[in-house]
Amino acid sequence: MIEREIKISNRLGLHARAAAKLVHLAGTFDSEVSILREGEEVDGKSILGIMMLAAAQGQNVTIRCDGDDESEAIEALGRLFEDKFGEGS
Amino acid sequence: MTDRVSPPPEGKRDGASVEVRELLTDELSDLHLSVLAGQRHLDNRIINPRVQKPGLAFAGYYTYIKPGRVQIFGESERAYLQTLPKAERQQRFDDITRLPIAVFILTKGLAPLPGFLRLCQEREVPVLSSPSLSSVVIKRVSWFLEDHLVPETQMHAVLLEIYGIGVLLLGRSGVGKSESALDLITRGHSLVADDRVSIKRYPSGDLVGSSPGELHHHMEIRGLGIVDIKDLFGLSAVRERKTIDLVIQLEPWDSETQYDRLGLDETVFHILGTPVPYIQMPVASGRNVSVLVEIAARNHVLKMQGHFSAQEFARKLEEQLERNRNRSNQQAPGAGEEKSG
Repeated sequence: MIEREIKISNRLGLHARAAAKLVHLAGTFDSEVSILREGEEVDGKSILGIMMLAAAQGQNVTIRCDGDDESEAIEALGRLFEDKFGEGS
Repeated sequence: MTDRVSPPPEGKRDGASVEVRELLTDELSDLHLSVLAGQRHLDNRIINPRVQKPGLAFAGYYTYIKPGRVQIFGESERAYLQTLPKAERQQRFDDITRLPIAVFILTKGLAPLPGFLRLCQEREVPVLSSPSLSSVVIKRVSWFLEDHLVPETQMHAVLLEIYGIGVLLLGRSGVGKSESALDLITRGHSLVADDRVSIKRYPSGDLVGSSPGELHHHMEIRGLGIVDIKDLFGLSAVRERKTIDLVIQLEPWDSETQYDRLGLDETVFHILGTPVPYIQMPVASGRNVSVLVEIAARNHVLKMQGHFSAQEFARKLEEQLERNRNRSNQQAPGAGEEKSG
């Protein structure tokens, strides 16, 4: 199991379309994916769970991956956050 | 609305026409039409739903007699022609029957004037007669022609009425359209057409589906064969026709396809050039397709009433995120701008 803490940098935060991109990417890996924020943990493949976190710009979340392809998964998911979900701002 | 799917319409029929003999079918039986002349030319084609009264033509002004239209020969035409000297009247008959006229309908059971039928017979113009008034004949024939001359297509699909809205189920053979339809009928919804759906586009823009030919309320269930839904479930389980409000495509679950997870984007499907809201619904074992179709219909009813659940949910989330963003900025001033600065 590996973890990575990341700051949300896109202006809109984990809004609906960003959450959809996140669960779609998480779904392409066999590993279990969780997203944690302030002690709350949700399934990274559940869109409603992700949206429930309401993680806004400037807040930190932790990505946790557990499984055979955990390092590829955390790498790809981290990139999605850094890339601001392809939103440009 | 995005427009991600627009397959070519199936078997589109444009430049529609109606044969004169179709006026004699059951649909217009209330007019009691009979053939007075041109029995062998009932295959003449009517291409325009608007009927004409040829009064001015009988007065010698022929310009506006259009081909492919029904000419209503009523009492006023007959009375006017009777005021003409016999030779002149014959001349008018001679001129008019040379025009490309689809059919004359004599109304009010009027006796044809001497010489008229013979000329029509010679010039291959059918003449029908009805005991009804001109106004009634015009109304009924126009209605009939409008219904038969609108653009029409047939699709391999199932059409149901669910909570008052018309839902067209598409999908390859064997994906479970008929079984879902049967399930929905047992849940109290009604069947319009199974397997083949005939769809007409009316000038209002409505797409109205019905069952073509004699298939009415019959379904084929693998293992059972042909069943009659009306006999099995009663009158309330079937409908003659229904406007199509929603198209749902059932398809086998494909792990490579990215299915809509949010429902924020609205996709349309074109039928006869008219866009209809469209949902792509993956079917996998363990998914109760009829319940999903029912929920899709309910959700569509909500949208029509102005409640767009997905959009409302997304908007509430965005408001929450905005509050959280401001809160985190207050806790750590400038934190949000850290990377953009």
